[in-house]
Amino acid sequence: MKTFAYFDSGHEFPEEIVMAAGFDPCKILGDVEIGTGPADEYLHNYFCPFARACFTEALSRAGEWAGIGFAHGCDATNRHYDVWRAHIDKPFFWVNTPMKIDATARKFHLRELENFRAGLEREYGIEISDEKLAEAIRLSNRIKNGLKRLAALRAEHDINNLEYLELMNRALTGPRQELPEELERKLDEWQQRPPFPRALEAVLLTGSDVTSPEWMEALEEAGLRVVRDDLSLGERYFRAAIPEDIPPLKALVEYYGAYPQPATRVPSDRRLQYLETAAWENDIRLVISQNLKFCEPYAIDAVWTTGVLKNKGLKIIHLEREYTPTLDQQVITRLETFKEMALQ
Amino acid sequence: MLQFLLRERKTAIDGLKGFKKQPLTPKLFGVMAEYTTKSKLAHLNPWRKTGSPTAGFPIEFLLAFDIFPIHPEAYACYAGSAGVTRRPIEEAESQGYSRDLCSYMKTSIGATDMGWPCDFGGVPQPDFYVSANAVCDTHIKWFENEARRHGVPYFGLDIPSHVAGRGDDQDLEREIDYVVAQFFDLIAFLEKQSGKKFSEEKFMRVIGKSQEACALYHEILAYRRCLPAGQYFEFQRLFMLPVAVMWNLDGCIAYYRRVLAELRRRYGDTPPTDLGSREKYRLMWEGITIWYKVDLYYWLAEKGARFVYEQYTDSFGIRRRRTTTFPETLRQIASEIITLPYTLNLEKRIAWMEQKIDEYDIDGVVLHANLSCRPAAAAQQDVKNAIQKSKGIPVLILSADMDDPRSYSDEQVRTRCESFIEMMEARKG
Ligand code: SF4
Ligand code: SF4
Repeated sequence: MKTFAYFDSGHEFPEEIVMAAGFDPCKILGDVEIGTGPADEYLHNYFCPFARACFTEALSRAGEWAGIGFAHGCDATNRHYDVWRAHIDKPFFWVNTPMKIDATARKFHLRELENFRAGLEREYGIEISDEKLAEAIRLSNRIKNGLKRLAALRAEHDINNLEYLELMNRALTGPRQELPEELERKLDEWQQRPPFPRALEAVLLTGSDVTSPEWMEALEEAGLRVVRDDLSLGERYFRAAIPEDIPPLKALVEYYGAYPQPATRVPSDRRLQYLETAAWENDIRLVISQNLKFCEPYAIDAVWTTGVLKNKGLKIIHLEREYTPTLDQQVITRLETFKEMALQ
Repeated sequence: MLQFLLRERKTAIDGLKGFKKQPLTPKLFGVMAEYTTKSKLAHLNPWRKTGSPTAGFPIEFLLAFDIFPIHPEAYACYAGSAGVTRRPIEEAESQGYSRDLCSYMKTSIGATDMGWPCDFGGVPQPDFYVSANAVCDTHIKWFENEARRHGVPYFGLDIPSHVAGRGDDQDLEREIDYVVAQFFDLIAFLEKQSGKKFSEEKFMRVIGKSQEACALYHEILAYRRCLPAGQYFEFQRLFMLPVAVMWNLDGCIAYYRRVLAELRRRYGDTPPTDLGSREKYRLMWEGITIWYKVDLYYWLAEKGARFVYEQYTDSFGIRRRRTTTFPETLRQIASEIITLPYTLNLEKRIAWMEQKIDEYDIDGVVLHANLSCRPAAAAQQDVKNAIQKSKGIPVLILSADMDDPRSYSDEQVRTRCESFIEMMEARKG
């Protein structure tokens, strides 16, 4: 099956429409090990490094993809689309995912999704029927459900931070058809794992999306185990199910309003509520908030969010992180100190 | 203000020196002072609400409810011109706002929290905040945050991105439908905030005035095509204030009429007129100005290089077409926000600039790679390559920041500008 790649700033891109078109959707995640030189030919180096890594990946791998989709999200998606399009010879598709989730926005979103479906049909000479969409939604829900059950095991068993990231990475970039069975096998395996290590502290992780291993490793090194999060390579992706009892495109619109909201959307209170509830559900005391350097939505939101969560009695640290493949010993030390102080 | 002068004597003196350096006419100085004075006094009128909009937001909706616009970005520009932004920015950073974030936002937050008056960047507390994401994420995040910090309501206007390749028929129409639908949500929000009913007639009267103000503004801009130009960037960036903020549309119209009459006397009724003393180098600037460095423009002027066109200042005359009916007006406003010259997609932006290069007889282009305004600095390399290729004129990408003087190196900037001038000179042969 051919791959259709997409770039979004969270989880705004409607993968199910691509699946119904007969493609495997693949979220572009960049590679922290590869320098962003090729993208930096066209973008200033003070743009989000993750976005530049994604563009670098697209410049070298686009030949393998049937097309490239973008969803409206942060300034990186909104302003880099034209640049990608100017330098990559592939069919491009733009979905104007709204910033709000009220009735007016939902109506527009539905029209945008219809337009995207029609665009794919035109470009590839196919028909994307409601039946195919419903089938893709069912598959997607099975995947989300599997991921949700696996993620819940983080609080009970010894599943390290990196394994969780790798699981999410596989789910968002690999073939989808066989994924539910793969997840079942993984579930059997994770259930056999030893219990949650007593030496580690359970934390809630929030902020810019974590897409590369070193940050997860740093947390692990500092004795912090992520058991809840609101990331796009995480709970934002699987926490909510897509309704199966209403017309499929409408169902997708409802779904986008139901999952843990990113900082690119307003009102931001819903994001905050999700964090509070997640911490409360798992009896978490420590919150790790971070933003990737140059990531404005999360950097701005952090000031307010950390303040509110602190007032709720949670211990929280906010860090700005670099996009680098090496483990930063200073960051680990700061995290260790935070843990020590917070647990005193 | 008095308290500020007593407490912050040095800042006040530095600021006054900064303002004095600006190429202000007595009239323009008066106009600028009128806005800050009215902003400070606005809260004294219990019957008149105040609201804070961002750039690109259709302020006319506020005016239709008699709501006074408290414009944080405008105050941040005042502070930039005064050259006093460093301390507010550092104050905001001490609260957790990153060094990389928008320096307007940090100037505004810092100055407000330090109790500085609006001439120095502080924001008199509005009754509510409204913003649109037409230009950037920051507008949304910043204003929503401020509303939460101050415990007042917030309304966000979601503007779809009309990216390259989107059609100007169905795609644009769909985007316009969405924005127009939000205008009705906005009206409901403003009715609630003001306690008044929306009047279409009043709104159309306001729009009529803003369209007139913008038409005058564009007529004045056209005189910058003259050889030599009627106005330069260092003046234009302040001159656009009345039409950008619209706190007094009647005053704005009267002022622009006067300026236009003067230009007509000087150049005749139809620009451009070649008066035989063309500037040595006529330049285009793309991006926000460097507020705290008016010296840079003076220094370039000494070398014969003058900025005669900017997409940035052009964009603030946002109403570009007269309309007559209410539905037509709403669609026109939506379209104007979606396709603002400042945020045009890459293909249209290049075409727009090429057209302006011809119209304004431009010898070189400076693209401001603005360190804390990422959206405006996107795709500059492509713009540079395209323009150099199609027009054969030099294009300089100049790295600085609109309000943060810490990101500015005089020496580096001047060295780069000197080579740029040499390139223009070489081209002239
Ligand atoms: S990390 Fe931040 S700036 Fe970068 S793509 Fe994601 S949301 Fe956008
Ligand atoms: S300067 Fe740039 S980032 Fe800041 S508010 Fe204006 S457009 Fe947005």
